[in-house]
Order: sequence, then C-alpha cells, then structure tokens
Amino acid sequence: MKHLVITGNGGAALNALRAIRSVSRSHNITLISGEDCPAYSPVLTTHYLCGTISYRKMFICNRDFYRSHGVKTILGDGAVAVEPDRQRVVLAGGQAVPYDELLVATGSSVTVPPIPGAGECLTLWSAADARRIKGVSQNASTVAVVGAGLIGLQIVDALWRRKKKMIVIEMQDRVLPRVMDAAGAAIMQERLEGAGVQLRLGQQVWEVAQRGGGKGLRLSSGETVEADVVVFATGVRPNTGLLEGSGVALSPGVTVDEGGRTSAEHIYAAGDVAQGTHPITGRTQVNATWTNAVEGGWVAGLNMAGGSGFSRWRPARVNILSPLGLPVASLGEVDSPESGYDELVRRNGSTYRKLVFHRHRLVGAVLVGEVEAAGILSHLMDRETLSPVVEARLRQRSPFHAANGPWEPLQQEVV
Amino acid sequence: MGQMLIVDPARCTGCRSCETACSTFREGESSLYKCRVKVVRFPEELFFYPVVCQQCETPLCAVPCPTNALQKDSQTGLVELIKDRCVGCKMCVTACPFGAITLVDGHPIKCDLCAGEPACTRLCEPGAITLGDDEGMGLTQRLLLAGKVREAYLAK
Repeated sequence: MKHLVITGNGGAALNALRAIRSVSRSHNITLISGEDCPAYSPVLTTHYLCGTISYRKMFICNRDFYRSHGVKTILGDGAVAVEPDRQRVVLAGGQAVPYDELLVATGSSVTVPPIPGAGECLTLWSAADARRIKGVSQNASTVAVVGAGLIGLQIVDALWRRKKKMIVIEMQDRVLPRVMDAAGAAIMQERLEGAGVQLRLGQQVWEVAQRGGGKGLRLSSGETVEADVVVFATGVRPNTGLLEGSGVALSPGVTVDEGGRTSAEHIYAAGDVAQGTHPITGRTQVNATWTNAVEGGWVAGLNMAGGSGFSRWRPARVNILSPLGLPVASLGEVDSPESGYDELVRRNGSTYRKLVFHRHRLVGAVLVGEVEAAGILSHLMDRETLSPVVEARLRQRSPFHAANGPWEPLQQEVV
Repeated sequence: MGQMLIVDPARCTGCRSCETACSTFREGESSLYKCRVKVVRFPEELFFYPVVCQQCETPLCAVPCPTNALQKDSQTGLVELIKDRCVGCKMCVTACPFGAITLVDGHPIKCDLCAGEPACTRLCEPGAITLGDDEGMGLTQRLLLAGKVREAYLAK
C-alpha cells in the first residue's frame, strides 16, 4: 500500500484518480489543489460565458466524487515546492506532505505580455475568470480581445452571441495561428468579418490606457482602438513553479516519457504542465488540451498505481471548435514542418480539408466546415504506418465524406 | 447482452433511405445532414457502406467528455447521450474512431436505436441495416461471409 499524491484538480488529476482506483482500492490518495472548489473543466468556461450553461454546471464533479473514490483532499492550499530527495511536497501554508509516488498535474495559466496597462486587463482561464468577464461585460457594448488563438476565438464567439461588438487584435497575420493553416484560417477570417467582427491582424498592442469608462489600445500601426472591456488571450504557460529548483527536468514544461514519468524517480506529470516528445520530429512540446490531459492523466495514474500504461502519441494537439457556427478541427501538424512531408488539400466552397503525411504516416489534418471525420483521422494518426489500402484511399479521395457532392480534383502539394 | 445495428454492405444500394428515415423520424425534417446513420459512398466501385454507432463496450467518445454526457448503459448496452449534460464542446467527435457522431447546429447526435425500433431498419428496402444482438454479431457476420463465398462458388 502506497501513498499517492496528486497536485492539481483538473482533467489529468481526475483521470489519474480514476485510473488508480481502476486497479487498486488500497492505495492512499491525497489530492492537493490551490483552488478551493471541486474540479471544473476549462472547456466549459466559454459555454458559461455565452450563457448556455449555468455557473454550477462548469463543475464536473462534486465533493461526493472525492469521497466515493476514497481520496483525501486538500483544497485551497496549493503545492509550492517538491523535495524529491525527501519525497515530500510543501504546501503554501507550510505543511509538508510525504509521498511514495507524486503526480504533478498543476495545469497551466494565462500569460499576459509585458505591456503597460495589460496587467489590469482580464484573462480567461479559471471558473473565477469566467465569472469576472461575464460580470464586467454585462453592460459593455464593445469588447476587444487580444489574441486570435483558440481561447481568443472562443471568447469572441461567446460574447458575439451576447450581441457585443467585437474587435480582435492578433500579432500573426492570420487568425488561429498554429491551429489552422493559412487556407483554413482564411475561411475562418471570412466568417468572422462577415459576422461583423473587426480584425486587426499582424499588429501588436503597445499600450493599454484608461479612457474614461473604457480603455484605449495603442497598436503597432499607430491606430488606437477603443473598447469598454479588454480581454487578453495571448497564450498559456505550464505551472511548473513547484518544481523550480527541485532538479526535475523542465523545458519549459515538465519533460515526460510516454508513461508520464519525469526525470526524477517517483514523480510523474500529466496534462498541460507536461511536455512529451513527438515521435517523428523528435521535438518536445507542451500540449494544453483537455483530451491530452485526460489521456496523460490516465496513463500516469496506471503507472503510479503499479500497473503499466503508456501513451500512444495522440496527435498531440487535437482541437475542435466552432466559432460563429463554423466548425473547425485541427489535428497534429497543420503545416509541413520540413521536407519529407507531403500534403493533400481539398476545397469545396467553405468546406476545406487538408491531410499532412510523413512518408506512410498521417501526421496532421485540418477540417473546416465538416468535422465528423476528426475521430477517424485522429485514430489513424496513432498508427506508425498506415496500411497500404487505407493510405491509398486517403490519398485518392475522401472516403469518409458522406453527405456532400464530389470534391474538386485532387491537388497534391509537395513541400 | 445488448443490441446493435448490423450492416451488410453487399445489400446496400446507396439509396440513403436510412439517412432520410433517421432525420425525418428523429429530427422532424428530411435531411441528408441531420442523421445518425451516414452512408459512405464509393460510386465508382458501386460500393456503399452505412456507418452506424457500434455501441462500443468501452466507448471512446465518452473518454474526453468533460460533462459525462455520454454513458454506456449496462442494462441496455446502449451508449447514451444525455442531452441535458451536453454543452456541445464536440470532443466526442474527435474521439469516435468510426465517425459515428453527427453534429447538428454544433451539438452532437448519436444513434440510440430508436428505443428498439430503429427507423433506418424499417425503411431499408434491401435489408442492409438490421437490428441484432451484439453477441450474435459474430454469427451474423459469419453467415454473411459464408453466403458470399457460396454465391461465388456456385457461380463458377
């Protein structure tokens, strides 16, 4: 019987808990989180913001869940340091909790660029953030969102549905950078502009100044944009604070192998905080998605409990969203990183599909307009080599495309 | 033991009656989009395959669901979508390896076997989709295959 400690209370932490209990009832488990509330899903915050679900519904489990899983919880007193040689975790309140196996699942938090005035602006990540934005934007007519990534566009979608005038400022020259390729982003951009969302692409914010009741954003183009409320959605970084100085390898996320193990013995990491290795490019990357957290948590949990689990390379980033009613899905690599990759592109009005191959492996896909094949493709991406029949099918035509007219002739773009 | 839809691609003519049946009876409109069953068509080879939910024993669609809206009913064997819980995050779509979850206005719909009398099976004239026991599935598939081999053998 071991004492397993989980720091964090999100998708990775909860699923680790379920995994441990799926193999053993006897281990003692302690769950530590800095937030004094049951677990909630960041996936749901924008749904709350737009009014489709209540505040309460953001919470994905209640306190009974922890009780029925036989877990001791320490909520509202987060872990601030890990001492691997003494096998213990130190909490903000000064208490030290010893562990036999530790899971670091502390997630990530929003970063705001070092711009004058940005610190006083809103961000969206936690349940509390969502409540704050909802309150402040109640009487606002214009909302500026800085950053047109996944979170940025979900905020735009939520507040646009609540009839706010939206202005989006993005440093890159396209919306959804890193998530969409250029052609997919162009379709999204068209949809946003068609809905009356104002875009300022390729521009940085230099300063946010107080202007009467609202704010003025000075852009790199020299223009000043006025808005009642400003929300920054400029990215997230892994919460590795508790491992600083502990000797556990960070880069910047916690380096893990496919079993969720870190460089230190008895310490595991999963979810947004963990950084896995891409089997093809060899690069390590953080992957702040719910699916990754759920899967990484399960694998790490099994290993902590003495079972054996390993993570298939889930295309790393699997993202699906439908801002302003246009469904888009992005899987794995959306742009060929270097030579040795080839891409197939098909377009049909506002339906767009792109597959990225590396030799005989499917490594990425972009789906715009119709996304139902996302699951099929993401599972095909798990295979190191596609069977010749499947690969030929994928390359010839779109076999999963059920309910529409024929595609335009295939274009093959070898990069 | 539960029930599931059993598909015989050799009988499917690609008429898409199942799609219209599903949308008409369940969504109240005749639509080739708002249907739980979708016929994948390979017109050049005259091959058609209706894709249906497999009512998986370990439903992968339920794994990433942040609201536990998808659940396997141990009594009926159905993988059920609890509408009140679903917020439309679409992650089930990225998880289903069969592409069996359809989006209608951003929200998923999935096959629940129409409470035991699937509309698609009633309208499938050639009998390509039928309702059967999942445990009898192996036997059914064996019979289908054996039937085809027999046909080929007799035609020689």
